[in-house]
Amino acid sequence: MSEPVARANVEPKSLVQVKLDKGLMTIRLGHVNNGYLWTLELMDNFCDLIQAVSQNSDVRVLVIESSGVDFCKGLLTSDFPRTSTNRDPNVRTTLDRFEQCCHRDLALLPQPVIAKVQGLCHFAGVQLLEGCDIVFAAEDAQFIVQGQELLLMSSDWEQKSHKSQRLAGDQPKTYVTRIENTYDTSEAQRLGLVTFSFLPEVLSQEVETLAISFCEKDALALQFTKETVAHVPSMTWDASVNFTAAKFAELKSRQAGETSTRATAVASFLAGKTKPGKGA
Amino acid sequence: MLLIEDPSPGLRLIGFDRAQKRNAIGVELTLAFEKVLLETRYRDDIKVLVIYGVGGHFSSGMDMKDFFDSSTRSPELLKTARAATEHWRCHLLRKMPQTIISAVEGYCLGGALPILQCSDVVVAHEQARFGMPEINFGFVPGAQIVKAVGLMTNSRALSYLALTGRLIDSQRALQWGMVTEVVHDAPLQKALELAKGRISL
Repeated sequence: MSEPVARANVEPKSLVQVKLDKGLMTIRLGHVNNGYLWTLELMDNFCDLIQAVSQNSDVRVLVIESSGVDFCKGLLTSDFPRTSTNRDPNVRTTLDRFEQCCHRDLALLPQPVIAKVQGLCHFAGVQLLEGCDIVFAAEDAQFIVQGQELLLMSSDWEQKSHKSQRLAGDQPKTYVTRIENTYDTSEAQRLGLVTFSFLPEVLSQEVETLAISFCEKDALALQFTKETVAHVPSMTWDASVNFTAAKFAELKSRQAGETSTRATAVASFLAGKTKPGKGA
Repeated sequence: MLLIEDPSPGLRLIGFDRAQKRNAIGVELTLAFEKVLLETRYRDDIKVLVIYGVGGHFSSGMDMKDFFDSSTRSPELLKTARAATEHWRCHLLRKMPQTIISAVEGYCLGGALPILQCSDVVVAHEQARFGMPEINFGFVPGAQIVKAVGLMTNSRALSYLALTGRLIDSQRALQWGMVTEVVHDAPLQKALELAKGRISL
């Protein structure tokens, strides 16, 4: 197991607590010492963990949840002073890294990622949900989008590149700062933020059942399916046909235990058996 | 493989007729489907196409025995059948000038889903089931199927269907934009009513 994951496993008071059991990794965010508010350290720890998990084949599925009653109660104001207008390099660096982690790294993980949402979910949590594959939420959860927090978390709002912008509409910055919207779970489902909602008392069981079912599936097929879902919607129809042909061939080869032609060629070259342009 | 009827002026019914295989799309069926669509496309007298499944299921998707590892078909025939499938689901169905109405009961899975995406109206029985079960067999859903489902639903629904392999019911399919109307009685009857209304316009 890679180092950050191992460290988190033996550090129960960490802001990002990790448990790995039979391929199911549960990540719990927040700590009572900070009133379960999210901090810069929490975001950095989370990003470190996700990078480590991407290389860890022992992990078959991730479940992200809160260690408190709220999925994301908000940001710790001493870490994120609103008056700084976010130009503090330390704050900015961590927020940009967290944004990249949510919008890119989570989506590109080979493992499926399930979020379990209950209680309040402020915008930092919403941003994290955008990178998850499946979001199960309690029927009484609430999603809070507050303009200043939204702009704080989104470094390039004007580039209109954020999935989360649908929550604020196509509005200029001056308007967004005044937003304070709260969505219930059914509205969050309608907006495509939540996959399914459940009664609070059955939420944990539903998440666990789904997570276990992922552990029983073919890991490589899951990884390729995630890649297909991530890349194909923006392709042309003809490109999607080519993508399918390439993916099916690679899947068939790797499920049969063969490495790719490229990997074989590189290994042969490194072993001194092959020279560029000369073959074996 | 296909039951093709022209019961009244302006209307053509195309029924998947392979009930013993839950209307799985095999080599002969996909070739016949491409052929009938090609022939219908330039028929100005046909205004509405109704697509349905004979025997209680719309279609259980691509026939794994025909198209995957255990196939006993010749490579040449498989190549032709795959090309025909890509033709009708990526291009031909999208270019049909006729109104397309799909009547769904039973299973509507995997390779059948692009037909729904190309339909102007999808009428589904309340007991119908929809899904992408490929992952349950260690396969990856075809990119064309993923793209078609992504055009009907949001990314949450697409991820759920593709990654879990679980089936959803008609009400959920309605919420996720895959179905236009859920009916208690035979969806084919409702589809025919809609077709006649469209032709009379």
